[in-house]
Amino acid sequence: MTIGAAAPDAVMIDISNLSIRYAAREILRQTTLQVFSGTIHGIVGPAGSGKSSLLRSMNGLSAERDGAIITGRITVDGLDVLPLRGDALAALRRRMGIVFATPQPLPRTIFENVAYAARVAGIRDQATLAGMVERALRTAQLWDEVADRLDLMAARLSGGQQQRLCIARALALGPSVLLLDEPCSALDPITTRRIEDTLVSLTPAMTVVLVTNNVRQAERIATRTSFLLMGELVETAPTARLFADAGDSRTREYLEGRFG
Amino acid sequence: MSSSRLFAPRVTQQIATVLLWLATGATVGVLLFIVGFVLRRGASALSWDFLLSSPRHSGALGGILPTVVSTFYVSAAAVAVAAPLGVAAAIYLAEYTQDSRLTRAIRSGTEALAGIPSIIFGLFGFAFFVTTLGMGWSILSGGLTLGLMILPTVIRTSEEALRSVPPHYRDVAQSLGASKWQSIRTVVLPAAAPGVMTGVVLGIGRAVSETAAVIFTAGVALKMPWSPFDSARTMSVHFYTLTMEGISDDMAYGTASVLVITILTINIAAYWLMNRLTRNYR
Repeated sequence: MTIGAAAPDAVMIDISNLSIRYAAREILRQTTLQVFSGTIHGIVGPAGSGKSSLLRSMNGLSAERDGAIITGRITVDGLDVLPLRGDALAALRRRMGIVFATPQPLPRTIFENVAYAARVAGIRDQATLAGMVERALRTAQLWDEVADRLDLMAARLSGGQQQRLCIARALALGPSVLLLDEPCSALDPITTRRIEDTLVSLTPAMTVVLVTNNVRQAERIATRTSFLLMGELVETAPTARLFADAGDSRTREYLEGRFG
Repeated sequence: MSSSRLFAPRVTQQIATVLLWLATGATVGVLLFIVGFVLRRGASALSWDFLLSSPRHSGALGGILPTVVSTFYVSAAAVAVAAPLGVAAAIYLAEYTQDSRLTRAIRSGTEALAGIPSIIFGLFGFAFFVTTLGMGWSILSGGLTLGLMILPTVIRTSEEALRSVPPHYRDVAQSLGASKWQSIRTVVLPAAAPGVMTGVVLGIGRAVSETAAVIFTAGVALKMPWSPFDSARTMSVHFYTLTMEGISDDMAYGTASVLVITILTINIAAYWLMNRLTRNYR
């Protein structure tokens, strides 16, 4: 499952010279970035800096859903992502879960939300599905709260529960990478803390890419952190070093809260 | 505070409330008046026997069973044509195209189709289905013609419904490995179902009550239809014939009453069904 987890310095996601445009607007310029296996990689930067577009390009969403024009190269575990279409792209997405900024349950029950990926992948056996759903909900630390009401509509859960459900849903097929797009921006500090604990517990078995506009969150849990500013990747460094002694003055100012 | 105001805001608010109530009341009032008028005039003819027996003496006596059955067949054929075609067109427009010259042309074509008077559809149906394709006056000709007539309604409401499905449903489905078609089939269409159903029900309502387009295509034969190739007289055509040929006012209003009750029942049933189906989506 997690092919790259054995070697500590193995690169899971390798991005080189990536540029993203929407029609005439350039969102991201010539970005090169490596995400190491089994780590949490934080991506911070002010709103509009291209964080989400960068994240959504990793599983082919920004090209397919947002109409982005992308040049450069992204490989995930050695697989060249950008040329992928159709079934190959779907196969990639089964190995890369994504969680969005606001909790987005599908209009289905708790069980059916978590089982969705397996169902569209063609898994029909009820016992298999039930096993996957329980495992995913346990990993996302939601099982104890919903075990006796899996038939409840997902929208009836609280916001924090919904977001943990979305994490469980993204984990159902046992992906090797989890992408998160400001997953705690709509949540209270206690729920945020639980989600951060969950993310830490996913490593080193999985690789986590965490886009956040809360720099403290990156400081708390990210192994390495990248700083993005207006479509430019300013720098990437081990988190402690980035916060203590950033190489670029813009990074220092942003992390100190002088803008953004 | 502007001195140019005629009334204080509270007064304006009250006037607006009264006017809006009046507008609502007038709308409901007209509906109740028409339904009440038809039912009162038709009450003397209404009975189970009227509904379940065949007409005699060109409809001056007896019942209207064949026209009820014909109405059902013709409308069912129309929906069978318009619903799949319309929903498929709406999916294409809403999910598979960007805004372009082609889609604008398709949309304005649909609008134009919706604006064509029904008697023109009847004339077209007569020339094309009845004559050229040799289907004769039949349930098939009538159903196909009505199907084309209600197609724009189905397309427009379905496209609206699909567009109002939150975009993130598609993001979520596709990010979980669903193909575009899978995401439409399993998530987008179910979420749009109430709106799509509304369009289909509006279409059924038009098909059931249509006269001009049917009289040229399904014909006026006043007997029980047995095959799609039989000519058939729908309730509205029967009502028209009874009135225009002065056969029987009582029978005409009796027929009209059944027609009105049918349409009201369809609407109420659809509303109830939609509520049931969508309970899970709220």
